[in-house]
Amino acid sequence: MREKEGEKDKVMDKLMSLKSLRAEIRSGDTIVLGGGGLVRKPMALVEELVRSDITDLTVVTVLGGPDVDLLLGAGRVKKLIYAYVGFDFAGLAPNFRRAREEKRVEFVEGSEYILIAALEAGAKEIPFMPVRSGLGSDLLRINPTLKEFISPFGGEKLVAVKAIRPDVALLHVNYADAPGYGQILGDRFLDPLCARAAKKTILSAEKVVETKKIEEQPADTAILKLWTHGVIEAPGGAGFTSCYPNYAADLSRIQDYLEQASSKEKFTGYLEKNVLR
Amino acid sequence: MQTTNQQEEYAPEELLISRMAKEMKGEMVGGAATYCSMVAVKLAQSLYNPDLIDMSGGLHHFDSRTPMAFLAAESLGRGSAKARVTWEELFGMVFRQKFIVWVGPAQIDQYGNANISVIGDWNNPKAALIGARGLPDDSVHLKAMNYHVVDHSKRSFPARVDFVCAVGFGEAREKAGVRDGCPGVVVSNLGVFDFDEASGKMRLQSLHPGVSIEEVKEKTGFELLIPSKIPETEPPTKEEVDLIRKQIDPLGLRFLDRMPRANMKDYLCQLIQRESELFK
Repeated sequence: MREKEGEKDKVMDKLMSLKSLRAEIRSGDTIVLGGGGLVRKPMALVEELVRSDITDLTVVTVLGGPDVDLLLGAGRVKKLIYAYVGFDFAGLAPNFRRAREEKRVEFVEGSEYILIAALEAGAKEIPFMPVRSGLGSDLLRINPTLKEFISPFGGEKLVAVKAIRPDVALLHVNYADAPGYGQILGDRFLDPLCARAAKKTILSAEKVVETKKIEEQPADTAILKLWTHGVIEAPGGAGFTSCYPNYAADLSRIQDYLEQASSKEKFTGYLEKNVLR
Repeated sequence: MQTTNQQEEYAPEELLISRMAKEMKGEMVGGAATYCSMVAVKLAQSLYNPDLIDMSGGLHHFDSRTPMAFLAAESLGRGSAKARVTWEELFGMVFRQKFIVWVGPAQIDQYGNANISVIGDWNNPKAALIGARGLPDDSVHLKAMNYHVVDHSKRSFPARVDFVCAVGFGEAREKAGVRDGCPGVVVSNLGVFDFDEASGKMRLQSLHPGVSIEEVKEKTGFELLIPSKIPETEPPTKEEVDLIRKQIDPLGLRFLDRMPRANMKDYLCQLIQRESELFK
């Protein structure tokens, strides 16, 4: 983001501090979160949001986990668009469950491919994507972004999935360089798609590296700098979710979270102790 | 092959896994969404179907003989995976029917509609579960939907599911003109079930050893089609049980699928302890 005199041969440097994330997201924005379940969730970025006063977010996630649960528990979500929210082997997501049952938030449930199609339509700048997913299911009854239609070719019934164009994608990667290439060594989930669909992408990285290091393993690059707006170095940035090969999920912290999130009162204490600090 | 007949010689999970493994035929991806089905994929690849493809964590076709890991799961396919695949490619495999899937539903009804999203009215939930996940995709694209249920009861086998995530047989399927992804086999802890194509209704295929037809009727929330002759489900062989216990799942991940919540915390702690001993 600099192009000073005498630095004409220098490439863009997108490094930013964790705290400056607050200036990149506004209340009411639509954000999409990468990773899946208990894997490589952008927890450092999400926790920073909770420390800010940003609220009324529309949160999009194909496979939500503690990232979504934390934002719901902190009361920052106006609308949630999802195919799954859970803690995988560790069980159900307590704040998600409570918010669903108390009807405090608008929920839009899709399937995995319906969410993919919505983001794909966003990335392609078209209003919808045709899919077969959801036909015959009850999703068509409860999800207003799905409309049945007849294919102009062949007359088959299909579903139009309304495009999602997030304002910001928040993703956690293993390595990133200052210009914004992001490398993911484990399962990429839908992170590359989230980056293509969002108006801007902010990466947190276990480690910020020299571009030379990226060049050593170009096949590990999942996020192109074209999509990246900011890079934040955040070692341990996936929190208690896993970040292969840096660390596995931290079961004792997960269990502590689940225990603390079992009631609203306890969770306020958890936020104060672990997030707001 | 020597068979074990006494009930104590295998766990209910091991019977389920053995029966599921026998369904996985052809050069297909064994899609595993539950621990029991992961074990079944590995058992099938080891004993019955060397062409079966094991895939998880973005890694495609790795060696099934490597023991299953819990927290270290992502590192296991390394070294024997043939490819890294993206989620877009993964759905490409779903659309071309290259997946054999096993789902563990919260509810499955007489027409094979399945629910993992919510108990009660979706708009006014009694209990929110996890969301529809991939069921609305799989049940309109794959060749068949297979299910396994570890706690067969009137709650898990109601007359009608509270929310249709995977579309079964019946009016909704016909109206939408969906041909693919029909319900295939349901393996529960009591028996094996399939569906009568004409009526679309669930039918008893076999009873597990020691289970009576009365017990199945008692624990099912609708009237099953019952054939005049009911065979007994073949129990797992000693070879299968040994392979499951010693080689594929020495940690005991298969028991997580029906672990009561109260015991879960301790069991997970033990798992991690055993894992650190096994893999380090």
